[in-house]
Amino acid sequence: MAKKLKTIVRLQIQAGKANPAPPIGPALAGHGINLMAFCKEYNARTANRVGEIIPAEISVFADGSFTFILKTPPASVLLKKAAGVEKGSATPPRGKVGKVTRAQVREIAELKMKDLNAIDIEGAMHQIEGTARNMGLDVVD
Amino acid sequence: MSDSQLLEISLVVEDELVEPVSEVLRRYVKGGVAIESTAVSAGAEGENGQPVGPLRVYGYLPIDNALEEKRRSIEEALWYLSRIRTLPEPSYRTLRESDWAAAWKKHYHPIPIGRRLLIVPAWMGPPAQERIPIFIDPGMAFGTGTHPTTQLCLAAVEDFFEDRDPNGSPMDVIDIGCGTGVLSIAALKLGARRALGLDIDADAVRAARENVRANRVDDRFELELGSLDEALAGNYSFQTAALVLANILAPVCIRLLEEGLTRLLAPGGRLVLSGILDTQAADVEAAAVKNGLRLAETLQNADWVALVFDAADQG
Repeated sequence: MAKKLKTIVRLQIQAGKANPAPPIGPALAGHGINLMAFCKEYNARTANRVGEIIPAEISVFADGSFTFILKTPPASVLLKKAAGVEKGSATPPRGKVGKVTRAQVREIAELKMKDLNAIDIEGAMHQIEGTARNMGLDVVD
Repeated sequence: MSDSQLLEISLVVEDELVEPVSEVLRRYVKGGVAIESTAVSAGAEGENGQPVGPLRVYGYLPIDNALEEKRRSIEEALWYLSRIRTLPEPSYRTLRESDWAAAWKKHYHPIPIGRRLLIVPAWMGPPAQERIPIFIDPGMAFGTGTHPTTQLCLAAVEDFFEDRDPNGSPMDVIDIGCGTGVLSIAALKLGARRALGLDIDADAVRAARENVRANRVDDRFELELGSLDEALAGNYSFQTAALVLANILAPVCIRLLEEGLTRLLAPGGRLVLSGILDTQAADVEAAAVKNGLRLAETLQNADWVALVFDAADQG
């Protein structure tokens, strides 16, 4: 019989460095997930990408069991890298911190396509551009 | 364990605002952010469900002198975001480490392993079963007994003691990266004379000490903060063992092999390496063979494997 899905938790965490500290401990423990089992699995699967933020999407079932898949890095992380800035604007939309080109947006959209619920690449680009603006990044040609 | 406090900050937002809100939180919170569905749709088999509707974004701030400033910075950044798209006010909740560190215990039950072992949560009494109980309180250390890598290793330890002549010479165990100490405690209960458990994580050594006491094997278990280098340097009461265990991760196993792990093996000894994904097994085996070992057995559970090696000069 299919197991009953209780919730889905996505963690944006550092590859290879999961431990039971926040946010993993507080976010998962309440669902009865064995924290160390998750951390060990996550670290094993991301050990070769230390230094990146690799989100894990965890499906938690009613019986306390779980499965997880790895996702592409957050759009905001990829955008900051593309723009060469450390952080987004503290005062968007007027406070600008940098810019990204439409070609860079397309590249990010292509990479993240499978994780975005966009119908086509234009839809995905539209979402990425929205995130860029919300962070105080101009999108230029 | 110190009972530190955290401030949980969370807000429920539409899918497209998850990224910018997470980006704001990530600047100030510890460790990263968590995003949870407020509702899910079950997939066809219940396995591939999707979040439905808005999502809750969470971050955690340590309660210390910098808290108020961080909180103000977050609120300010969210206020600017809310001028682009409406955002709800964040909600706050204070959490104690002890609340969440213990929350999963109520889901943890005795687990039979292999033919003779039973992993029992340390906070439960001895079970009415004929299996050999191993009492484990994982604390904040690796090795709860529930993970395939630990289970594979325990099975290999059990096999080792079944294959050996009980009247033969006494056998010692060295456990590199011992975590909770679960593997060495099992070995001692299955007939090992002495165990040396090493871990580079002080929390693990602390958790292991509790477990050693709970299992009444204190007099035969030497437990230290350290790793292969210290063992090779002869810092402990013995330096070689008939059974050497390393349940860590594939890249670490390979590094340990390169740094002389096999020198811990007594003549005719056996090495068990675990924490290895099946796709990584060939690399680990190659490193072991290069260091004079022969693959005796591969144990597999889901996509995890444990590799059992003997010295290549054995029959």
